Amino acid sequence: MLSLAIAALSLSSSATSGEIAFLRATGPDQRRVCIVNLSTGEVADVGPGPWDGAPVWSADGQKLAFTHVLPSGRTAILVCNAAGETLFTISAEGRNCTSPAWSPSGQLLAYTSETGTASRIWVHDISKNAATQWGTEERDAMAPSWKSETELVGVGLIKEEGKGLTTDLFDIEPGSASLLATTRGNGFFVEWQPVFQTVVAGLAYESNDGGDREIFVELPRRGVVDVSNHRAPDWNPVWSPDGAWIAFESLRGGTRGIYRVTPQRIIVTPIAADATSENWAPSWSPSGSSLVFVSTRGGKPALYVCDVEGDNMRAVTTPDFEDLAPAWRPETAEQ
Amino acid sequence: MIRAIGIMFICCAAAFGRTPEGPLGPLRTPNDAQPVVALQGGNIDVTAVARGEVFLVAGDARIALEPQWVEYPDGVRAQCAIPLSTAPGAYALEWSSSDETDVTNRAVYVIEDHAESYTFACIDAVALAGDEDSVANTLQTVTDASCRFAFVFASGESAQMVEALRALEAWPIPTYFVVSTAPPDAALWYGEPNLMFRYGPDAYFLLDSGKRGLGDALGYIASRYAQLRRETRSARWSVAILSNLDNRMAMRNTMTFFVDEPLHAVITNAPAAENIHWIGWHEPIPVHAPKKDGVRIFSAALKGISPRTATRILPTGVAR
Repeated sequence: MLSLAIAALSLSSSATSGEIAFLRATGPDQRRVCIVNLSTGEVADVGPGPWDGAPVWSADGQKLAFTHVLPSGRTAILVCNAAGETLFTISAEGRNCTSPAWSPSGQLLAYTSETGTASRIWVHDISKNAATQWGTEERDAMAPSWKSETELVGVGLIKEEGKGLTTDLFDIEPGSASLLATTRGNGFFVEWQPVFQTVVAGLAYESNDGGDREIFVELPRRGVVDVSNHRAPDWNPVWSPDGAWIAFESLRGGTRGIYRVTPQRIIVTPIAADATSENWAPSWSPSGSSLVFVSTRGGKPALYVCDVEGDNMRAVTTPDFEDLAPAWRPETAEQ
Repeated sequence: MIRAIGIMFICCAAAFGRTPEGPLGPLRTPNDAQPVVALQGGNIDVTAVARGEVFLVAGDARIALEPQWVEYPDGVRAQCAIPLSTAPGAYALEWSSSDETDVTNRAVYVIEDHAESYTFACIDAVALAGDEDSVANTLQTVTDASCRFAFVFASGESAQMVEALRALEAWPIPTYFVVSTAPPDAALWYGEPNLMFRYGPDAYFLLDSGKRGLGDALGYIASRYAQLRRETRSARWSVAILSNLDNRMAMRNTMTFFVDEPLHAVITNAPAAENIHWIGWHEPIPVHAPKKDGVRIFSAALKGISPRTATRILPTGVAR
């Protein structure tokens, strides 16, 4: 499974240690999960390919979950360690399993299980090697994010006769799915991609409340605030490990760029945005001082690292391939 | 119009314009599966594997363009101005380097002006796979309706692609391929994906004729669509053309086209499109393109994008 390739790199030593999981193109529409070691530049194959999805680390940095299309055409979730050894596979007959999300302890893995006409959130308990459905049978739900070991927030579908479909955010627990009271409009707007930050107990999500896609944040005693507020679309909020910043993508510069905002003070600052390249998919370093992201500035999409100010930009992989969906490995106990 | 069609026929009776097996040569786009319609004095984008001279060719006419090449990940691209004096009609595009020449036929269609009201056709590639009568009958249906362009819904299989392209060699109008399943070597067949084109006041989004299929939630096509959709906010009608309405669309594109900047119309060849529900309250009603192995004509006018009754092209070549 493990094959190594040396990427031609020129990395400075500071803030470039650790490992980053990502997707590398292995052929047209074919991708495999790999890990690049920032100190050595070595790239190791981790996923089986050729149809792996975006990798997600557990909080302890010991387990990596990603979707994988099986020969049957169905999508499963593979969980492996950093050496590429498969620990277990989550699959269900007649269903696609997507959107893996680790609980804070790393003992529970939530995911979306969908048939094409119905979508539910399931939770796999590693200690029991068993999965149970959360939410209710009546409510389509997807895109889970953990609030605690016992509660998720997810996107729920709202169907109203004559009005088509819309979404809102729901608190999801075993046997219940209750509409999040703080999103406005009770399903009038379309919410997506909730991301909960446990350190500050903050929830970031996308909504078209206000006319175009914006990043909204709910914080304790602050209520809900539109923190990106721009006439261009803003999407994909990613919390920093300490909850001080949210990185997000925006088209406000004419091309897709990465920006950051303080959810408390609502000051937006560009991190990686320029008129001649696309920059997306940010992931924070464990210390929160650096980010890795995808950029086309060298040609094909490749991974770049910079500090939180956007300075010290450098390539992590070369643009010889097509590298996507980076996920910076959290610090492990050994580190 | 008649003069223009006459010129088109003369030009298009030329050779296939690809490599003998069907894939494109060094000149990638525009081509006979992803053509471009340009006004006299307008611009076209050209992509190739390397820099070279570029000419519009129709009969004895050979018009030199002036490409200003820039590098991009898969080769070079250039915006070329169409001289104001260029006669309306269909042109092959010729690319020449110091040691190689390549031609893509039926690649560029020069027109004097866009029409406010016009018709276009959606054709199932199966209708082009029958005998000569079937192909002729398909063309007759399209010609009788005075269509300005046509979408060809294909499976993406190489054999079907070659057969359909050969059947279309003498067609006087541009034909855009819409593939349900992009083959692994799609870039060799279609070139750089043509995500959207404008025809007069309207915008047509081709959501699955590219090498990455419908979705691409991970890559940069999602943001390209978002940018293009924003740039076409003022379009009279915005129309999505796609083979299948399913989860390959990716939620990011769903948000763009059905929530944030809702489209006016969706034309699909999916058999069960009516059963698909889309997130967003500005949901456009999907309309079947053609029935299987048939043709459907659509009208674009001030009142909207209107489908007409589909015509099935039987293997015997009889339309009904």
